[in-house]
Amino acid sequence: MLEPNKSWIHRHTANARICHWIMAVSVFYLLYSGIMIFLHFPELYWGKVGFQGYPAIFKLEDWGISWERAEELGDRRWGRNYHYTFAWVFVINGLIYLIWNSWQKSFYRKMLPTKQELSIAHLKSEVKRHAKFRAAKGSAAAKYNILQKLTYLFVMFVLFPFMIISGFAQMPAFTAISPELIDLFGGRQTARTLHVVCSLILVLFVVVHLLQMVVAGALNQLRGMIIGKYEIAQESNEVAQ
Amino acid sequence: MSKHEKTEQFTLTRRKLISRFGALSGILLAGCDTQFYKPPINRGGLIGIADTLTMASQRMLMSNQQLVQEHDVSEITKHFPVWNQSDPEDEEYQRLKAGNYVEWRLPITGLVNNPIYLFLLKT
Repeated sequence: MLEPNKSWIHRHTANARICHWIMAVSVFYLLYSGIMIFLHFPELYWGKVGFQGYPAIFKLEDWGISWERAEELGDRRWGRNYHYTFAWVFVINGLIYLIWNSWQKSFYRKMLPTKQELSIAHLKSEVKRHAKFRAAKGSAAAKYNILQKLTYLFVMFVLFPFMIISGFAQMPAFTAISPELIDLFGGRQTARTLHVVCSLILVLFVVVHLLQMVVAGALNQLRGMIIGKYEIAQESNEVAQ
Repeated sequence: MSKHEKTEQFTLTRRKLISRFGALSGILLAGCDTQFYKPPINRGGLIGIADTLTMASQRMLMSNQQLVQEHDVSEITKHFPVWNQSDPEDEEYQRLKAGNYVEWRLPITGLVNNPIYLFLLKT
């Protein structure tokens, strides 16, 4: 077998790299401070009413941590300060990313799925490849694959906006000027519960994201996201072409 | 005649533009001048910046607005959660409780025109 030829490409723009790491830090702090806030009130309810003693749909007590113990572990004051701070960092950073990349056409080129990619046959083969934990090679490795594109679009345009809106729906002052928002959720407790559920989906995304990084080569991926250089291992048949 | 109309239209739009710009800069200047948009204590650092952003955006969105969500009378909750203590050992409270709160009074005194004592009606 021939030693696969290697070439270098410029993987991520400076804007994407900077925004990615600011986002990574802010998501970490948002999650951490969110857990701190949650621990101070470790139950979830559905609807408009929620208090200690009201039928809850989730109780941390059922998972072996009593209310008193959770209150000790959590820190609502610290949590709220940092949750607000990094929510601002997250939103401003996200807006800069979106505006910059909408202006630069690279965004559409990198993220928008093509018709060929959305065909059932292609989707099937990509799901199979992912299930076998095989990394893309050659020219396919130079761009995002279809599952990657769809996931990123879903996270950016569905999960992130949902987190922001359900966060706003928990703000008593904000719901005073926009009661429609809280009615949309059917109550602040529902908004809070969905905020937590959505954050768990985001945690799942981060876990899979890191797993994919390892599968595709952690060093190469990290280098691509830090300095932008990305190594492409070419398949032997592509070299012949 | 038509030329005259045109110039008038032009002046009107420009005037509008200028007045709008003036109003906008007024809002911006007011934001700089007054303490209205700033948090009372600046904690400094990133948290201080976030404080200012939160306070300013809340004030901008919520001044001259209702303070809380309005509810219909029919929506008054049937749940009255009790925090920490539902039956305090306090002597006075126990005495009032024993008398079914007949003797309980809520004083409305101080800087009011008509000081009164409210009490529970027997139902």
